[in-house]
Amino acid sequence: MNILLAGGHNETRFLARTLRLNNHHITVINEEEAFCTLLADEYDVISVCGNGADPNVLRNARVDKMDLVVALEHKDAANLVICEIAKKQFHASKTIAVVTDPRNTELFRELGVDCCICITDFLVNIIEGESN
Amino acid sequence: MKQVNKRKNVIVVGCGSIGAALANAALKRDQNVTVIDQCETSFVRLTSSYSGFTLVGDGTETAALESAGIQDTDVLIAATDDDDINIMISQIAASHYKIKHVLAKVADINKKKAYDGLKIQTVCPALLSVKEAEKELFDSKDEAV
Repeated sequence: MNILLAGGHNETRFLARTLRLNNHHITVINEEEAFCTLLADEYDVISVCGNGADPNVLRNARVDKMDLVVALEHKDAANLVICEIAKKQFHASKTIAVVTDPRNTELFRELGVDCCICITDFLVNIIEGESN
Repeated sequence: MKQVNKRKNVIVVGCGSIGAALANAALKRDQNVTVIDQCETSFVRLTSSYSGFTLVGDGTETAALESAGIQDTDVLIAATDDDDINIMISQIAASHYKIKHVLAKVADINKKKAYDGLKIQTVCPALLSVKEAEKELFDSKDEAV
C-alpha cells in the first residue's frame, strides 16, 4: 500500500519503520527538516518537509496516489483538516486520524474521517479494567 | 403592515482583532452578540460600550458552545488565530448544530481555496486585501497603470 504519515514525531518514526518492514511504500510529511532527512536515510521513506494541513504540501507529497493517509499531529483540528483535504480535495482512499479529545471521535467520523484512534479512550479502558 | 427585522443571535469565537471587530459591528447592527475566547484579556479589544455577552471558554468544546447558546444562534463566526480550529468549529456549528450562517476566518489562501470546494463559507483577510489593493491600483479610471 501507499501510505502517507502526516505529522507526529517518535510515533511516526516507529510506524514508518514497521510499515516499511511490511513492505509498504511510505511517504512522511513533517515540519522538521532534520527529522525528514533522518527518516528518509534510516527507513527508506519519501519525506516532504512542511505542514500536513497545507494543501500544497499534501499535493507535493502526492496524496492523490495514497491508499491510506494517517494524520498524527498533536492537534486534533489539524488532523481533521489533513484528512478532509486528503479525501475531499485529493480523493485519497482512506483516512485515519489520531485524536486526543474523545468527543472528537464521533464528530470527525461525522465529517468523513474513516477511522479515529483515541489514545485517551484506549488508556481509560485499560485503567478502568485495572480497577475491576 | 410594517416588517420588523428580527434581532439575530450571533456567536463569535475568538476575540482577536477580526473577531472583536465583527462582534462590535454586529452589536452596532443591533444583534445579540456573544463572544467566546480562551483568554479573558482578549475581551479588552471589544469597545468600551460593548453590551453583548462574553464567555471564557474553548470554542471547540460543545460545553462552551452550548453555554454561549449555540442551539439558538443564527450566526456563528469562527475567528480564532488558528485556521484549523476555525475550520473545525465552523463544521461543528454547521454539521452538528445545523446553524445556517457559519463563517470561518482562514488566513491561509490555499486552505481557503480547498474549503471553498467543500462548501464551507470562509473569509480570507489576505485575499480580501489583495482584491482591494488591485481595485485601488489597477482598476482606477483616471489613469492606466
